[in-house]
Amino acid sequence: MLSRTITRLPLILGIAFIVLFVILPLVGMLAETFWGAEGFDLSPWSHLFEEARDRQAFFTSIQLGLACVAVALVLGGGHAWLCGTRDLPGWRVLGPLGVLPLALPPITIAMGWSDITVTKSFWFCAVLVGVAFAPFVAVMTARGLDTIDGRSYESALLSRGRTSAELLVLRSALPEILAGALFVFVFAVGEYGVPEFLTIKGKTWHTYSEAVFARWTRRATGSGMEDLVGPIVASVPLLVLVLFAMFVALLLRARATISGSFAPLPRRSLGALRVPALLLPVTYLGIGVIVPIVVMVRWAMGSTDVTEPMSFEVLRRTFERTFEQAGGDLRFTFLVAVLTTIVLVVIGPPLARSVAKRGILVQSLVAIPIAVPAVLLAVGFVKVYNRPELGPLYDRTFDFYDSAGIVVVAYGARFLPFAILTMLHAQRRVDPTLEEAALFGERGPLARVLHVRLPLILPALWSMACLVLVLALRELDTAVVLPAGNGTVVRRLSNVIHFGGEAMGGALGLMVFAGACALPVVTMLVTGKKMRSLS
Amino acid sequence: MSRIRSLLVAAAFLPFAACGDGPGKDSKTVSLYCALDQEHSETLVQLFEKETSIDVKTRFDTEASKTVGLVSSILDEAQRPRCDVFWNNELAHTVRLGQKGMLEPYVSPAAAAIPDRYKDKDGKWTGFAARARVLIVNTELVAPEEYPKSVWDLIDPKWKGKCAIAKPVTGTTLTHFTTLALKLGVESFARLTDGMKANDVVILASNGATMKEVASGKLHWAFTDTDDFHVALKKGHKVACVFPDQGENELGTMLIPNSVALIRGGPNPEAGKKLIDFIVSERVEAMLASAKSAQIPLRSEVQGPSEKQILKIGQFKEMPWDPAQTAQALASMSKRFESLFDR
Amino acid sequence: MVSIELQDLVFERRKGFRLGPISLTLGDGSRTALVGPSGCGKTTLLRCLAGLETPGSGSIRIGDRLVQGDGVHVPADKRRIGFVFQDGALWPHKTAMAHLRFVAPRLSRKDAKALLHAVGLEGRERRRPAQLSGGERQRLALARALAITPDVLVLDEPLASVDVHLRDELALLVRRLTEERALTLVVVTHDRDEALAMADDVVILREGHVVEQGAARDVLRAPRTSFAASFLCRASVWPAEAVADERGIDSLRTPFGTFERNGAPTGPVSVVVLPGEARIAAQDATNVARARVLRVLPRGDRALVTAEVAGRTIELFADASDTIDVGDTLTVELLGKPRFLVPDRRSGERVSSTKKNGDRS
Repeated sequence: MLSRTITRLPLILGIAFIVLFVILPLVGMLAETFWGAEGFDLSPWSHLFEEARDRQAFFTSIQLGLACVAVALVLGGGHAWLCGTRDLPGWRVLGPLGVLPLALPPITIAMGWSDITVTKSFWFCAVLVGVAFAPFVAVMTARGLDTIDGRSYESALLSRGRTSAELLVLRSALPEILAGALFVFVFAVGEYGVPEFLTIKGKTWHTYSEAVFARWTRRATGSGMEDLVGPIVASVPLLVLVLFAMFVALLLRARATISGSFAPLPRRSLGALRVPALLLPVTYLGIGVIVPIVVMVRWAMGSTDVTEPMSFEVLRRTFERTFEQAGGDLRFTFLVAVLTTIVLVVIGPPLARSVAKRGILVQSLVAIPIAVPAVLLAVGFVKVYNRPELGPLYDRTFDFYDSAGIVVVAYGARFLPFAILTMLHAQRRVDPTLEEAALFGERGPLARVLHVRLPLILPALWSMACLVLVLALRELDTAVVLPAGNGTVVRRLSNVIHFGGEAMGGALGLMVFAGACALPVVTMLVTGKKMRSLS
Repeated sequence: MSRIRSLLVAAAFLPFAACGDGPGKDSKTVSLYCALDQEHSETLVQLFEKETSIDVKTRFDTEASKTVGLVSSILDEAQRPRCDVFWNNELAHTVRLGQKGMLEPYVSPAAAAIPDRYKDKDGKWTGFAARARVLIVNTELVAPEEYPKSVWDLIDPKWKGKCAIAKPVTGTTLTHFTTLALKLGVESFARLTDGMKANDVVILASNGATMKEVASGKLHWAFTDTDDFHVALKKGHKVACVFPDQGENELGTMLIPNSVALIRGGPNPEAGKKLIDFIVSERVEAMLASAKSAQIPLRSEVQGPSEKQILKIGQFKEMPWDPAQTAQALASMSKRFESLFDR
Repeated sequence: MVSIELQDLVFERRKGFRLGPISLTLGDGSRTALVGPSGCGKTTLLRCLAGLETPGSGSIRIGDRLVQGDGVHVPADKRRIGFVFQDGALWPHKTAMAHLRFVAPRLSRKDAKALLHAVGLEGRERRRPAQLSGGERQRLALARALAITPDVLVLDEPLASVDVHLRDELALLVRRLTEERALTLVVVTHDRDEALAMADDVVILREGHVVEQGAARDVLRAPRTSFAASFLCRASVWPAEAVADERGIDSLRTPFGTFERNGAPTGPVSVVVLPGEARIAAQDATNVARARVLRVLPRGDRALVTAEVAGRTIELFADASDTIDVGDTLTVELLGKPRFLVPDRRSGERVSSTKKNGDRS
């Protein structure tokens, strides 16, 4: 009985988590748009898309999303394709490196590039954002290729020739590739940090996320209902757009083949192009990782300070100073990221099992927390968890609102979609009879979970943990609104760079990158596995 | 087995157990929301903690959200205020909070020497250590005799495409342009903005950005704040600072002080008052003046920034402005400027 | 040794699939094969029996225990059933020994080793599924099912993924082990040879209902439906057309001539020819049909001829010395009286129960 209760606990916690930390804050926010000072009021909704610039920005965001998808397909998809199907030199090492841009906050990629070139054009933005999220395409392309039966390629090769065989491979991997592309679209249209940063660099076109943010800034000084709930109303079209993309992505993924017994795809020769083909992975990783890292190292060595030449001595001093000033922030950020990961590792798998039984429509609703602008989700937390009614409870126990706990659950809510979607796919790949087989024995539910279910999903669970850890380390927008989020590294990083502290910013960026890479790299080194179950 | 069991349970409750120690209802803690850059304010806060043994829980804003993040938080938390003291690096948003009934009057005895024009008559806020809205000029590109001298230089064809302002939708530039709009009146302000458009004035995202563009020689000059100018100078860039509109019939240079206020219903009002006394003290003004941000003390007797280009109070003509009027107009102006300066 | 009794069992799935109502009794110690084409519901029936699916209505008894029905649902782990899944459903991360010790923690290492030995996996204790051959994997699945000392052993297409030459060996192993351990065996298969190799009784399912049930040898000898005849007995089946002959007598027209209905079931019927019930016609034969030779396979001193009669195939034996070639035309003669059977039998009626183990010998 106890064993059964313990087995069910994660699901119960998961459902409670969704109700308390996803539904309650979001419904609270949405309800606000209908009730003004004088009761029920629909007027804020009538201003939706009233302004031509909003319509233009919405259109621009869609264009940016599509452009990012194109970039991600060419670079991320191309990288995975070459590493997965061709005899590219070093494909074993290069392949897993395809996830690396994910370890850098997109803003640092943009900052790095802005340091060495003019980055205000639309296409430059698309390249930066596209590369930052291209790992989704890279990972899912790799997975798509993994599930293709090499024999079907060979039979097409024998009967129809090389071109047809390659097209067959492409067609078979297409659902996964397109699903990856749609994930990129979802992130790109929601991205605020990079377009905003490029505005600093003189960008003159605007995205819809920026329009939502502009409304948020007016909320502080405005007084009418339109000013107050404007950002919430304005974010709804974005939400709808993202959910639609998510629905399509999941629909495509559901169609993707699940591997049975098959022969792996044969690795084809690139011939004379073998070495020149390296240009693609080099470009991809160059844009997404190498250049930003080099720039940050230069910053940390004092490149922006004209009073002293760059040196390793400056680098050492910078790191020393950074640890001294931001050591607490670093520890806090890693603690929060680890706790967020633990929460999602506990509740992610049972929720994914539960969601797997529902239709794709319900599954795409899972994406809501990531489709809502992070700032608004966090404001929802403020509204719900700073209510005066909770005062006595906080006094008796602890002040949840003011604790690291609220940052952990807010991050948890924001990254829950990744946890569920990653596990959902892993779940699909596990033969259900493997779990059923454990039913015919003398072992209780807990033993069955620990000895059968858990080992089966462990690789995916670990990948999910790595992903959540990385995302939690990078998160800025949610942290900004919550009091305890004040102590996060990325918040400090974005500030010091503005105030001319590029040296410390570089050092912080490098530390976050190292922290984000640590877990996956150690895993890969220890297990020799690739990060494909990431998807 | 039992170890795994206990781990599972622990993992589930860990986030809730990881509670920070929030500002309790005792005079030994105080919650400060600080819009001034962390690097500059943190040492001052530590000094206060050392001297008073009061623990300060400071929350900073991100530069991206300017002051707005903290102001929004204060408004969102209105039902159960968490902040005792709001230290704003400008004034208009503080005034706006007062207009929305979020501030508790407190007349700090430590601020007695600060001129009345920088303090709310009801005691809701106190101004101190200011930044001036100045022109940063690249001395390698512009000779001293050619330096721009007025806001109207923005529409001088001589500078076509060579000068910049930050987009006036947030921060000090919003306060500045809102005040300009109110002071110049509809016609003159339209002449200014139309002229700026015709003159291809570059619109950037922040004063930090305008400073960097001028410091790097991409632009000849730009409006910025004195603290940004000082950062550029300290980094060794060839830049000069001009306090604009000093002529007899001209508006004068806008001075935007830091402001500090006690939040109504905050958890630790007594400690909050002590913190305010500290922040508005002569000593802190002097420290802010000598720091990298080179703030201009509002007390004429306090030593100003060592950099001579940053003038002391009384050494230049100030633009008189009504913070209440400006604060009232912020939201509508921000919306208007959004499209007006959309480039 | 236990019996299994299913009473009015109905299982429905959302997409329109419906199983039942099915009533069956499987005697204690019986070995029964549930056979039928893909999608007929045999695996679902098996899963209901094992407790992996919950039927909408009806009851299941195992021995004298009610395990399903009347508000009772005994979970799978309490039914004392050993289940061998198609493809084994082995856990990739566990060794052969760990498989057994996981489901039966009280099983001593020595006993587990003995069990692995019994299924032919001696020396394979430390191997994981990926290190075992297809046949070995299925043996391990069998050992895992037996480790819990079940009353009933249930196998779902157990030989489907095993090499053809190993199937017989495994089938014999299953027979031996069930006999030794006095288990009631239920095996699901769509393969007639597999069914006959392991089971003594058959239950033939089609589209969610039982078409026919009985001792395998009885059904083989005298199927009662043309479906069973064709599926299980490899019979050739032609629809018989109801006509009145020149005397106005109710008759049935077949490729072998028109016969009086006399004694044949009413309604639509088929003429069924079991293997050995037809031959290449002698010169003065009656009840003959024209056939075209499709294939000739030498079998020792004889040849197996596959020929087409009125759109259906029939298998006949010829002397190896006969010069029959593909494409030749033959005359096929029906031996004995024609066998007319109903095509199918909807199981509204209760199907006869199989014999008890003791009755069989």
